[in-house]
Amino acid sequence: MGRRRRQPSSPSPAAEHPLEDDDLLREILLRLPPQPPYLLRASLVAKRWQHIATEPKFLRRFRIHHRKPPLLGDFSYEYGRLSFRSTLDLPYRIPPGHFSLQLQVHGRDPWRLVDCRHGSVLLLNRERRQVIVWDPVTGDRSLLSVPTEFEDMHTAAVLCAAGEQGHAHGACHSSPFKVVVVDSYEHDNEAVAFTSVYCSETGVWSDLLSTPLPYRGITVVNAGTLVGNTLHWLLKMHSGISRWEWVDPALALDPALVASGPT
Amino acid sequence: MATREAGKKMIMLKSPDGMEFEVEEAVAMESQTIRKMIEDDCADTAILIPNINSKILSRVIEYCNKHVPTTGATGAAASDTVAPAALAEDLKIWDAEFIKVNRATRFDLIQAASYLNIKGLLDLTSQTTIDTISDNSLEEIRSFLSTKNDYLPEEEQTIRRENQWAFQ
Repeated sequence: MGRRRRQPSSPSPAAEHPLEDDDLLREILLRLPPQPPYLLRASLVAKRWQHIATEPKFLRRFRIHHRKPPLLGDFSYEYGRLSFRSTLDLPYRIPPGHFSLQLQVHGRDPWRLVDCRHGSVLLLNRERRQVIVWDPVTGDRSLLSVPTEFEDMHTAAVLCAAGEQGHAHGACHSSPFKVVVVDSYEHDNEAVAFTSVYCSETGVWSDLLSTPLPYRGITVVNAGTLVGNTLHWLLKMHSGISRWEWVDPALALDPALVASGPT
Repeated sequence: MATREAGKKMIMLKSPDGMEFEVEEAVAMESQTIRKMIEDDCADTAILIPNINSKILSRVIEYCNKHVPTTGATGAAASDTVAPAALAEDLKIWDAEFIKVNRATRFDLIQAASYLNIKGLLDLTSQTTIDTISDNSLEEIRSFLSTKNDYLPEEEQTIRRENQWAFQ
């Protein structure tokens, strides 16, 4: 019976207890439920646990393992106050009062919550042509003035702009973000939809990009949907809807109208 | 020495306590570690599996036997007649029975699954462990896993304060 000439690398020595082995502890912690309170609570078991639960490499694996970031709750907005309601079960339910934001409101209340993605909340003020990007977990807030051409915007989108390899959305707090604003314009018989993208890395808005609309009377009012690298908006018309795709916000700027046809 | 039996290639796995297990190569290759050894080198010899005693190794082989994809001569009748969904359900029930072991055995199985790189077994053993503890209090988790709390009270308080939203 021949003995192996070669053994696989680093056979783990028989540890007293498998959780003494960091690699095995990682394997186990990786399978905690994806809601952040689980990992935070686990990090209080012992310092070594906390060390692992905060390693960037481990956190990346954790997000990839769970694929889709967890839904923690929802926001409601009323008279300048943005309130969060946790939808987690006890004991991991986030107590009321956290993740809330009070805005200065004078007279009327023109701020509207228009989007929520990759850990950021986007509020829009049409009259002042401003948007606020708010990270509820860190409390970071950016107030941006939108290019003057966007006189009548109803909606906008926020997304994480992290492009490094292996980034899995779920804790994008320190990552750069992008804001996409959309509006439409009509003159005589011409109607176009146009967009501009703000990137927090450069701090500037892109040049306007536009695409002709097939009909007049179209407005972009609904929240956008991100599918892969493409943002989609439903266009509202008098006679039905069509879909506007804005391709690959991370890489290319290529707006295209996909008319699904009025019904 | 590798032997052949009814056309199946067999290999020998040896535990450090001297036990030998003859298994089908396909079964042994459920372990990515063993697969790599076989692919990198000739597999005509016995493979010594360090640090995994015969009791645990036999359980691991039992798991691999059950989970090896049934193709060709191996279990052809079963795979021809049973729908994949039913097979998956059957495996799930089997897994649930398989993992009904004491804590020490489960930890040994985690170590073995990790070293032998058997993803399904690592998933099963780790997930079962975390499911057992994830809803317990910190004290219960520490006691269950014999882990010592090495935080000073003020250090623990700081973490709780900084992440207040996560703790009721």
